[in-house]
Amino acid sequence: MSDETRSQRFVALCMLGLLLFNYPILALFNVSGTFFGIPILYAYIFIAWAALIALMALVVDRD
Amino acid sequence: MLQGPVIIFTSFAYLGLLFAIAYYADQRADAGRPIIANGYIYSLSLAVYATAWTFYGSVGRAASDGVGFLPIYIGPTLMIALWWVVMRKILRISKQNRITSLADFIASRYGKSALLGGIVTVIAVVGILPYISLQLKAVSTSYSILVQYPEVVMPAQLGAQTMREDTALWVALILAAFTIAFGTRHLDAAEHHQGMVAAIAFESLVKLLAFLAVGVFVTFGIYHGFGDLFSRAAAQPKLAAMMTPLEGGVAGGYAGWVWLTILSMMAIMFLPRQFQVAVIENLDEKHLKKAIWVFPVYMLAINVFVLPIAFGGLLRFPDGGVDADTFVLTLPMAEKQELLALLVFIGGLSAATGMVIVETIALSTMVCNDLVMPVLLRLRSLRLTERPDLTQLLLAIRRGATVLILLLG
Repeated sequence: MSDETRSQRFVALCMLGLLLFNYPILALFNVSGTFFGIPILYAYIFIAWAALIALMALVVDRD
Repeated sequence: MLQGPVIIFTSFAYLGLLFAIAYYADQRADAGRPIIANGYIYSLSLAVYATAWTFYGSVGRAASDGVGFLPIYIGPTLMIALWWVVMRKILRISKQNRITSLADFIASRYGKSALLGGIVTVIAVVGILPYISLQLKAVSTSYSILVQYPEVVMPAQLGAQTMREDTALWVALILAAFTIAFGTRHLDAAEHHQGMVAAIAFESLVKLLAFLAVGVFVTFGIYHGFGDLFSRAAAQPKLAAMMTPLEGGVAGGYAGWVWLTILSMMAIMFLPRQFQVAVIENLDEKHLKKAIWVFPVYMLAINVFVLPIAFGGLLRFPDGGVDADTFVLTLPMAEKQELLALLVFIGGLSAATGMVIVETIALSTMVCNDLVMPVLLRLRSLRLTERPDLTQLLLAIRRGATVLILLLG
């Protein structure tokens, strides 16, 4: 992966994060009910957050 | 078991351990075999972002508006996604121009404007001082609660104001000694303080472990896992409302959420202490590659148990007699877990001292390089420009600034 591509992917990830943790997507999950016993909004935020970090770890080059 | 002397002895032993770590790391640095030269230590030192406000305050905030505190940690995660582009550039510029502080960096972007550097310094010092005093207050408050063990009494009900202020003063003086010992021990052109970084990384580890220990204890010791805890909380209408806080405007709604996210994105870049650990203390650009995911994982980990502890506290102390900011400490106390309570106190101490030490070093460097020295160099009567070696003068200014900042805090 070239440095340029990697930079673009990181910018895209930041945009994705701004989208995931914003209205209206947050509103979809701001409802009562649980997901495996955990309130839906909390479960969504932590899962989306973890997924974003995992993607960041994938984009960064490891040597 | 938990009398004043025991707590104080443990705190001193812990601070002594920090001194030892910092001393060892400095020795290794002088020998040219640094122990902090890896991405994990760099990531842990960035976690100085999590202060006593995180350690005790997140739960307090979660107990009133649910997820409302999370943007403080999600914002930085989003910013760090841009670090590959932005931080690498800042690191290169700073290394080339021998930048020594945030004020220095901003001034250098505008043609080495000494006036701008001075203004940034003044704003930073004035803005950060209350924040430092909050950390010192957190230490003395948690001490005065812990020393009441096994009773859970809020300090406001004790009226022991004078004693608390004394504790804060002592803490300030000890921290001044630490900061002078490892922050202003010698002058280094690159402003690296490897001993300090090693100690801060260790403190980050301690505060994370302490917080996770309480989280696991509350979730799995007092209750039977997340499902049990949340379903009990959901049974109470008041707590159930906190599970969908964004609609009701409790947490400032979506606008408040977004605003806090943006503010936190700025904070991770421009708090003087973050600039200090991320830029000034950076030894190798390569460490960014680890930090880009390790530091966000740290922030996620220290937040997983915040809501369970908040709900656990609200269920355990339903009459509101116990301040939610103290749940992290008072829950283990109410359950008669002495050692865990002591570990929490040390964790909170780590969070507070880490922030105070790094912030003070960052501010005293600014005060010295961007405020006092430009003025002294301009005063012709002092003939400073003719002196061959200014090391002692510079060190004296920094030490003075350190003590002054901490005592003001």
